[in-house]
Amino acid sequence: MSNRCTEIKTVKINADCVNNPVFIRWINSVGGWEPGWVFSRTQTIAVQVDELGTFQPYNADIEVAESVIEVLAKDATPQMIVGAFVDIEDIERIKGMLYSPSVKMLMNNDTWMTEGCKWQTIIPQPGAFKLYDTIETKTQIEIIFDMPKLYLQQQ
Amino acid sequence: MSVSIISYPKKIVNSDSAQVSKWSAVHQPIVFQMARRDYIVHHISNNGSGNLKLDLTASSDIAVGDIVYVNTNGIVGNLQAITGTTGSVVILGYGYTGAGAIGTGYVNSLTTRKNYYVETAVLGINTLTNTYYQLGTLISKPTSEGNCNVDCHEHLKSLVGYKDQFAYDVINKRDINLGKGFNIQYREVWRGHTGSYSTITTATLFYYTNGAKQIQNIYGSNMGDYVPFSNTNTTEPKAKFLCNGRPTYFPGFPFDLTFIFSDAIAGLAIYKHEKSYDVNRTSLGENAYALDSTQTQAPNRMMLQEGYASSVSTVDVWLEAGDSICAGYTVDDYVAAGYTTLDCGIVTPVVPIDLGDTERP
Repeated sequence: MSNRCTEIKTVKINADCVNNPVFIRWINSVGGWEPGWVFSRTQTIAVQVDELGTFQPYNADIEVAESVIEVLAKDATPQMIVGAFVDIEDIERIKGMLYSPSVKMLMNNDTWMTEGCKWQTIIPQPGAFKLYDTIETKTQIEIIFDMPKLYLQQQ
Repeated sequence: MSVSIISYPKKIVNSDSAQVSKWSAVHQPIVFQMARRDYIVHHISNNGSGNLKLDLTASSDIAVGDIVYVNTNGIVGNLQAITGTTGSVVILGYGYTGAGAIGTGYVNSLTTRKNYYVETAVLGINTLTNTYYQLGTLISKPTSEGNCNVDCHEHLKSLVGYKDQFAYDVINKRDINLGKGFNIQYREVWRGHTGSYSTITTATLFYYTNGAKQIQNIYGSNMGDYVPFSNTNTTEPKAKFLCNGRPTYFPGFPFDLTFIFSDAIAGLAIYKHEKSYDVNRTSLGENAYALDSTQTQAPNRMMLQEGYASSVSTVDVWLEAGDSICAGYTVDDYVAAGYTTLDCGIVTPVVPIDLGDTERP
């Protein structure tokens, strides 16, 4: 004899062929790994560069001097802007990513089955998000991810 | 021991007293309420001179002149012991001319037991060796009346993790980054006295998950609505998966559902059922798959069967609890060749000889 001891969870299967898939998953607020989401088709790649200071070298002989100002260090954060046109019920799930403490991106989409998953932590940029109007059934979303910062030289 | 637990971090689910959830969200308080009861009052009477005389059930350390907290037979407050404090008899400077009566309450010895506190050791579980180890201690000072709260969640928060370490190679596996069991033991300490710790029992074996619940959620910070119960309990609503809404499976990408493999279904055969439907919600068949029943007492990651036909549009997934997995070996004195002990029911961690020497895993 056996009895059902959990709710019945309906899992939708999305077998669309996709270009440029980006697979994201995250820990949700009740403490489970939320089944992920694939953003596809097109992403915008950007990089946020900050200058962490400059200095002015002493030029004893300006005839051979190379500069009057040099950069101490820079800070580079690659970014990826993803967008999707999704059902409202999916937004309700995806929005949890925006406030999850741990959002992961799958780095080896083609080989994870043989070599294991390689995850990188990415951070959705914080802010106030307009998600959808309740009158809609599908809506457009756009999320900016900060990818891991680059390690760079410092003078 | 004169300190005891009067309230545990547990909730009755669906108003069925057989369904008790011992699982709490670790990012919110996980509170044991303790009560200090130094001496139980056996009998109250008039000492013959118009003062209140208490007969205690044990010999006391209350001396003449001591202030004690009394809460018995409607007499409540801090009173002074005046004479005749020998053995288990205390006479207080409180006028009492009533008849003798059976005592209903207790006395706390405030003056003798200066700087009284309850020290609670929070114990984690090393999954590899199945032994307890000490995470840290908490100090709680009760009020005169003896009640205090012990909140374990700050110690347990250090145990949850944010790495996805599931390898997607088995049908289900526990993820100890997402939660596990813990236990407590406690002792009384006051100036010049350090008590011995209480015995570790399964009565104080509780569980945490790496979650946070919201205001006005049912069961508060208890995870009661996510805890599956055994096959004999059929009340609705059933336990939820640790996942919101209707998730999407993208073939070719990792997929798993997280659920709490609770202590309540430990020792039972658990089956994952999958019923697939086409785009018109016409059933294409149902299959059941046995889960690994050794992965109990922690949140589990569970994979789908995957490899669905292209006609499958949605899959309904649920768990069923079957019979006890320990039921096969009931013949006396019979042990099959190659038989090893099954983990039947709740796996109780072992208490090491000296908890202080055990290392954190």
